[in-house]
Amino acid sequence: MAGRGRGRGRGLSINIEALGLGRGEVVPSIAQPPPLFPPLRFRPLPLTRSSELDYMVALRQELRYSLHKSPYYVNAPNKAKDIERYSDKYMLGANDGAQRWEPDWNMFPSELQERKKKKAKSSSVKPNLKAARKMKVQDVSKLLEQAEPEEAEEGIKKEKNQDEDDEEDEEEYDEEDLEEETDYNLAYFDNGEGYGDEDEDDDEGPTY
Amino acid sequence: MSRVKLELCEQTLKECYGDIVATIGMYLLQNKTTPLNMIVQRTKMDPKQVRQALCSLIQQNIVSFYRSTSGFVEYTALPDAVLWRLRYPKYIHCAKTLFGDAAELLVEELLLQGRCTLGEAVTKTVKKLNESLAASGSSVPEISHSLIRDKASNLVRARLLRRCEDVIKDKDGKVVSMTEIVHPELLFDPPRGHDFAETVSGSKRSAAQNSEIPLKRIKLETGDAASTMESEAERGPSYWCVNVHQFHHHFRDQAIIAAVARIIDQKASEVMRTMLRLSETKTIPTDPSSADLSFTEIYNAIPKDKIMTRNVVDQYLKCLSQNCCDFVTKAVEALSISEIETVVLERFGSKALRMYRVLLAEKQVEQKQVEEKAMLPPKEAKELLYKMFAENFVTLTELSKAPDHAPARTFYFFNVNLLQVSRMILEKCYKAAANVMIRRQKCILENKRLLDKQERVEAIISSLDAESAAAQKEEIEQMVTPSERKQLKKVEDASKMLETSELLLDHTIFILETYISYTLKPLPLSKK
Repeated sequence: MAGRGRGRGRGLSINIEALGLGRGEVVPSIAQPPPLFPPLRFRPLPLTRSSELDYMVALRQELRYSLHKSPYYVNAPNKAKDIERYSDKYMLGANDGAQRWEPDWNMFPSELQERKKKKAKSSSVKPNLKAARKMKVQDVSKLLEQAEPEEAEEGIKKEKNQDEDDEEDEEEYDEEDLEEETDYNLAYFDNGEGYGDEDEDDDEGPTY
Repeated sequence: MSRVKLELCEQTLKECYGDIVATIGMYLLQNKTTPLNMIVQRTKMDPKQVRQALCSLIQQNIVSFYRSTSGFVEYTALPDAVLWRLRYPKYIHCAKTLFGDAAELLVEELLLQGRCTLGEAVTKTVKKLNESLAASGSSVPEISHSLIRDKASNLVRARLLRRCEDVIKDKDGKVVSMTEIVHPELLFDPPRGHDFAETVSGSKRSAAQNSEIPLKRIKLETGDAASTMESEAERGPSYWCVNVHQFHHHFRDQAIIAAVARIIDQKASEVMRTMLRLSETKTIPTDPSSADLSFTEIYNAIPKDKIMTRNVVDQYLKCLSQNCCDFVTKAVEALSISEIETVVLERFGSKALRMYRVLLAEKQVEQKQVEEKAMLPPKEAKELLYKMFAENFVTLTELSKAPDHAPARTFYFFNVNLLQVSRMILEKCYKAAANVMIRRQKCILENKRLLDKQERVEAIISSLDAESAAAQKEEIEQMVTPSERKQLKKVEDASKMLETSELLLDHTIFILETYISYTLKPLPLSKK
């Protein structure tokens, strides 16, 4: 170990002469990363051309085209647009295949199908509502039947009231308005009488 | 998996299935098995899109799903399955050369769909074939369904198509997991009548007609087989996909035969072809060497039109066995070596290749010996050797005489670690393939307006063709100016060249991958 340690101090641990460098020559230090596109020393051979390869290239292009059109090519739904353009309506339908494809759910994990399940849930709730409604409808109709004569009487009374006491009605409305709508205005209405009162309070002296 | 391979996967996914699928696929590739919630959370994407993308990926046989011990369904992506997409044209071409046009269309349809019922694929193929017949105006009678069905059965028998993995359902009838493949043979169970049913939810009448056949058979058969068939018939047609492993075997054999033809001669390749064909059925595909064959067996199996006497065959076999005794591995190794040698030649020149061959032949060589054996002046040899060493094509072993590892008392042996070098070149290939794809996409993006215009003009012309308005056609054709035409031609040539190089790169990738997988461990699941 000790010998090795001493050897290290002299620089390189390998015999420089064996590498073909002279005794005095300095090993050039590399300060830069190698170039991104190093110059080609040998030009590559031209590509081999054969009818088979050409056929396969054509097949490839065709395949790519049909893959783009296939329903498995998932496209992002149209992004929110900055402005509506005339050309938009021609863009639609270019690639909505993914929506059309419905996987055979016998072969796919059902958790991928969740959208449909939600619909099923909501529909399962509906029948209860309908049943409840039907029950209520009967009740309501009964109630209505009961209420009909009363209403008619009230209506007659109202008509009489309207005929006789139009002025009274107006006054009542005014009161209601004051109670419900104008209380805000009342609370914050300032007629200016109180203006200046606060100043007098201030003059009493500083507070400690 | 390396970063460059991931990058290539990403580019491939993006090109084939769009950005969203690529994002999800990449997440799965980087993170191994993940449940759905995690994917949604981590990718911060719309859950609906995530589901859609996952469905796409499962349909395309890229993602598999299993139920974890904690009860979640977990998804896993298979990186190699993504890269097989680069080989699609090769599969299709291979099917065409082996089984003709109908098989080509069948395989193409199945590759496009990822997985579908045979009935669907057959119907579409028949439609396409008849359309092309009608277009060419030939008087050949229409192609019938039964013919294409036979073709499909042939493909299954040749193991080029297989059944998809079945799914396991939990007690609520929800699909939770894919089944593990226990009996590979089951995947190649020949298709039955109900497999050809028109569509899953197709017309009831045709389904009923098709189901008659298996029902009759069930009555004839007894026991378990009958019950399984019955349950299958009840479930409806099963899904089928392309068995890429069988295609890979074919490519491998083809490469070996071609190499033998190059090294020895045509007749030797004929002998090799016969041997490979014979061993195909006898050998387990994962075995490093093919099954033993007797001389008479080979002799009898050689096609009769190739006139070869016993003596000649014997000589050829000797010739072959001297070059490669451990049949498959050695042959694949030889292929891989030749790929590596080509790379060395292209990178460092012929002199370096000479040295490299010395290294390959002698295993462990000192620097002086390399110079002598390669017959190169010391200075030049040193420069080239160190350059190769710097780029990791060559490795160095230190062997010290004394325990202090003093350079003066140490031997420095140069050698080649084939596995390591082929891995490195494989990485470079991945990188190059990804780069080529990016370049091509850029090229197309830059000229998008022009290409769109051309597409539109062509659409108009084809519609005018139908109306046969010659004068208008000319007018429309002139809408593309000469300079634009020139530019279009340039783009077309460039993209064609890039695509050709993609295909060739994939060929190298295939050979190197095969070599690595054979030397490391048996191919997993290659018996699919």
